[in-house]
Amino acid sequence: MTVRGYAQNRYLERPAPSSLADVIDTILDKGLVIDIYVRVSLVGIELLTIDARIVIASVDTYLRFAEAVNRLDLTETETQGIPELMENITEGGAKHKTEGVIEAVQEKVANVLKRDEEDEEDDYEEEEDGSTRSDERQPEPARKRTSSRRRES
Amino acid sequence: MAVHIYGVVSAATRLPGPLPGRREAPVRLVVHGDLAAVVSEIDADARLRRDDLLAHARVLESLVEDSTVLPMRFGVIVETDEEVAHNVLEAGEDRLTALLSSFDGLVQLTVKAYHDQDRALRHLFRERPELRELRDQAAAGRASYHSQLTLGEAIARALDELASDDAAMVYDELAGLAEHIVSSEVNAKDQILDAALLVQRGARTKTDEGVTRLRRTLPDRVRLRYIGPLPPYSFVDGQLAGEPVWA
Repeated sequence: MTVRGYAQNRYLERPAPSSLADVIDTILDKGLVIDIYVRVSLVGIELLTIDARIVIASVDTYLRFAEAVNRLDLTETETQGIPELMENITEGGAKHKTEGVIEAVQEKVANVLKRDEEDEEDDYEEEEDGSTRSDERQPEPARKRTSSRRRES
Repeated sequence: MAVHIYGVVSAATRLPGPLPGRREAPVRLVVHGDLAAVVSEIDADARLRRDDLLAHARVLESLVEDSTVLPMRFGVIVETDEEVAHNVLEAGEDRLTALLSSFDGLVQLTVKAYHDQDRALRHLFRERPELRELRDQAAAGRASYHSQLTLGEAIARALDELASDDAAMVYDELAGLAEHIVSSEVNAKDQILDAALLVQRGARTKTDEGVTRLRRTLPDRVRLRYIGPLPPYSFVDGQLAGEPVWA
């Protein structure tokens, strides 16, 4: 509850490095492009980011909201003043219910991105056809990751 | 092998020591006139991994600590150093030089704001009696499909409105901390704002203080993430021929 303590400790906040999700937000659709030279097969990635941006407002999500609120103990919200006291107790219970659809989309993206840890052949696209020099394609030798940043997302 | 381009800097830029790029290949500069491209070798047909994305971002983030950097979007790859020099740096010389000078000394700081959904819901039910009524109707034995749907729809709409209001409030506060500010479409769950601040490198402490203060004063349903320093991704307009979006 004292997550946000007031000025007892006057720390100065510094910005943090970007996470994988931040990186996907920025480097895939922001920054300079020299269009004729964009040669890399970004096809798979573009689909991936589009997926991540689908916001689904459907009957299904409305029902999830309704269900969440029904489960959320809101009695404390009607007596002003003590809601904070109750928050930690009820937190979590209802939350999971509303997360459904959009989270599923994000999971999908995360899973795709995670494949490079699980598979020997770590790629975004199973089949990346004709668009980029498929004639010269050779199977990539399996490589072990050497990075220490294994789980950033 | 081909050459991956991370970004463009002035030819006077020094790399901050050995810098590993995609697949750990050493990052180096290809210089032409007053410009230099930040590059590393890459197998042109290498499949993309998330490490590749992170490497691109990390290289640029290490450079931006001390240097002005024009970030390339991920995926600009050419065949040889000569092509980098002639078809990228020479061909784009005027534009790149102008961009470098307009971003001189500037870095991007990104602030993302999110709603704590449970807290946002509690706030709405405190503030809006009509939602409580709908909820009571939905709960009162006659919990029909229709009343559930009406309730859910009303909540979704109210949450959207609250998100816009809170986002506008945060945006206005942030605008006072930056030379320029732009916001992009939000796309993560519960995210209400994605704002990029363009800030003088020397004025970063002031922005840090502003964000710290803002975080203390926001309602507890709003959570902030503060990211950077980054090269001005959100301010260099896509095509090399374009104007900076804030000019």
